[in-house]
Amino acid sequence: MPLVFVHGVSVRKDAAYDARVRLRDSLFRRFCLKQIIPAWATFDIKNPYWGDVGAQFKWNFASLPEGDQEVLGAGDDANLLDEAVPTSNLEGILVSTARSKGLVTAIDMLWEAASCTDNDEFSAQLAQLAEQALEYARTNPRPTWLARLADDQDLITSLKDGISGSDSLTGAGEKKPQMEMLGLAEIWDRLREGAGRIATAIPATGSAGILFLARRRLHVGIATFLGDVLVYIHERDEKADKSPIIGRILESLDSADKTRSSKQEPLIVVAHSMGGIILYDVLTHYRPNLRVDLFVTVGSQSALFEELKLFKVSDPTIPNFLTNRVHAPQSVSKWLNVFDTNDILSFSATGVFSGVSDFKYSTGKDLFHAHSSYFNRPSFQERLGARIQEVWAK
Amino acid sequence: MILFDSEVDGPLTQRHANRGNGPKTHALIIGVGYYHHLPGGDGETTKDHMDLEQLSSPPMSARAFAKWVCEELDNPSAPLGSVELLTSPSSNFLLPNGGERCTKRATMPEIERAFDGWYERCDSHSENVAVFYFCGHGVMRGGTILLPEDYGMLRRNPFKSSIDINLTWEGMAQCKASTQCYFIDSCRQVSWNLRKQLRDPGTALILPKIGTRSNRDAPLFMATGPSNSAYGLSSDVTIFTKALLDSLKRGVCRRKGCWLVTTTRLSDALSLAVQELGGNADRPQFSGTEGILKGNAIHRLTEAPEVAVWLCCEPELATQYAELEMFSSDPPNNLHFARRPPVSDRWKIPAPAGHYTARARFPSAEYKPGECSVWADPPGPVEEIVRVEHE
Repeated sequence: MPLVFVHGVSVRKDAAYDARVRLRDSLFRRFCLKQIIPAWATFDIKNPYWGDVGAQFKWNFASLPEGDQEVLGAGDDANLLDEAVPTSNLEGILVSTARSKGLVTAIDMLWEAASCTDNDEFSAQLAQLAEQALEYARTNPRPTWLARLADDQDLITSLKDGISGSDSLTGAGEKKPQMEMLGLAEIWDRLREGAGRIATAIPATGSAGILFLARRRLHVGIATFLGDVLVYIHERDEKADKSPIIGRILESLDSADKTRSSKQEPLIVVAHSMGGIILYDVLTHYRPNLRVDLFVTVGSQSALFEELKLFKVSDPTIPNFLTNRVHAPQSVSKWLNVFDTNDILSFSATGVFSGVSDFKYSTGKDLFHAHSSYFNRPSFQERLGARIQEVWAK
Repeated sequence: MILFDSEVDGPLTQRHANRGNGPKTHALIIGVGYYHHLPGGDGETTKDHMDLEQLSSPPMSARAFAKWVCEELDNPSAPLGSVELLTSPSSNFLLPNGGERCTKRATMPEIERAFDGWYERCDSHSENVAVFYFCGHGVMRGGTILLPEDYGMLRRNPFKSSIDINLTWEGMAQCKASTQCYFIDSCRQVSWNLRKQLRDPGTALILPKIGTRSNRDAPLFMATGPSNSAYGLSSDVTIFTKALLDSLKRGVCRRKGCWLVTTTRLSDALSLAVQELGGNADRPQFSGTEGILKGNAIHRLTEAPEVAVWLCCEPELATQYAELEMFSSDPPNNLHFARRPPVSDRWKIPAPAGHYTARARFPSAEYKPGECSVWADPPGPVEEIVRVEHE
């Protein structure tokens, strides 16, 4: 049973790419597929990667304004701070966030930080624990123990106690015979490490060097974003289905379609950002007969592209007196579009397309970072799962 | 008070008959289930608790091993000299001679005191056998770090109460005892809490020194591999200690007419036994031996151990029609086991260690009789095939 996920712009295989995909897959299975697919735990998820055939910068961003700072080592933890609440306590970021924005937001931050793992089983465990953590946070959005916490490690201890039903702050209950481990619970240790990474990601001062690095990171991100869009459109129009980007997507979709046909099972396609544009082109032009049971676009610009009439099948005469909106791709049974009001790169679809359901979600992140913050957040996956269940049942 | 000292108490059993100043076996056994500064303990919970929990199986396991040492250990070359048992929580221990002793608690000061005494006793003769057993929480950074009852006592140096067993093992190269067995029944996971330390924070019970010359047989029998977990069922003996007690009955070789448990055979038997007990569980456990392994004897069995022998025919189809028999070679041609057809499966025979001849006959099928030689070699299991032909 196949699900194909098509990523968006600015995605490159860095050291954490595989870990992010693993956690995303695990969260998909546990929060979304579990709602509609009986065999959700073993559901096949394909992740065609096209970042390597996207925009190439031949002078390695020499066109960006230069500075004289450089990072001596990995600096990939900066994105952990995107939604953190400013605090003077470097080890209390999660606590401050939980107090001001709620436990669910702190859980999202924690799981994003803890996502680095090279182990499928561990990712599945992390997703399972996320489900339990969210369930606890939904019923205890502002638990009383929040007021007593000294730092983020305390928050994890209290969350663990809350989930397990015991409460070390008020005394432990009677235990049933069970397997004892003569050491630590690895899953919690990973979360503690994640909290530690959040603390160490904070710059010691707001120096000019740090600000320059943050600006450059943003600049590189925007350049890659624009580059990927331009490369896609150029190659699509020049090379048609010989375009490497389209080729990668078609390969995965055709393979998934073959699996679906042989097993008589549904095909689910999920797209992030420009992945939605590519898939719209594929489902209307390159594979118009490919039957898709559920099409999910998240943070996508499909409606914007149609307004600009940039799709292969765009009809410049619509809207007109008879046709107010463009119909969703004929081969798609259900289309769900998710956008974040904080994400300036995501767009509503119902004003342009018919046959699509819009779903608003707030990541709570800033205007630029919201765009890349959907899929490794347990709370997003949980709400997406609920919406998919609704749409699926119709 | 030491649990048992042959110098003071005399021999516990006839096996432990005192041989004056000759070599002895000295055991230091530690089992920690209660942790004062971990969640659920009576003390202030340490910030560095690493989500470790209170345990019930380690003190039971330590007592089970101590019971084996006191009641079963039989090493004519180094009879039992002393046993020191520390458990948290403390409990009474019944000796084979009817005496009852209360165990000391396994706190760092008590462990250091007990270790010093044990070291002195082990160091008193070059042919002594030193036995160190620990069961309780363990974590890992560079080396394996074992946690006593008072781990986390110092807020700013929680690992001050912890044992670096690898450093301690290196330090023990200074001890004269030529045979030193270390049984470490704990997890060895790499905690984030430890990774963020600049240095290995555990304490050596004896500091290693350069220039130490040692020809010791000193295996570290580890319950699990580096970065992995070890398990036990609550209120029961742990998987590793169960496997250890079983392996002490079958990790043997034949030397000068005796069945001797040697360090090398014990290592083989332990790996197999842990795999059998913990390998098929949801949370698998695989033990391993580190350190120096030379094959010295540490225990003697009074009779041949039982070895699992699996027998079948080739071609496989013939097995179900075969009348299978196993004859021992000593005394010769003595029928030990027989199985009559029809049976569908391979034949599993729990046979005393030794040499046998297996024969297959076919009263109702068209195969010629066949036979093969079977070495029931401990620790087993042994698999043999009787090759037969169609008539």
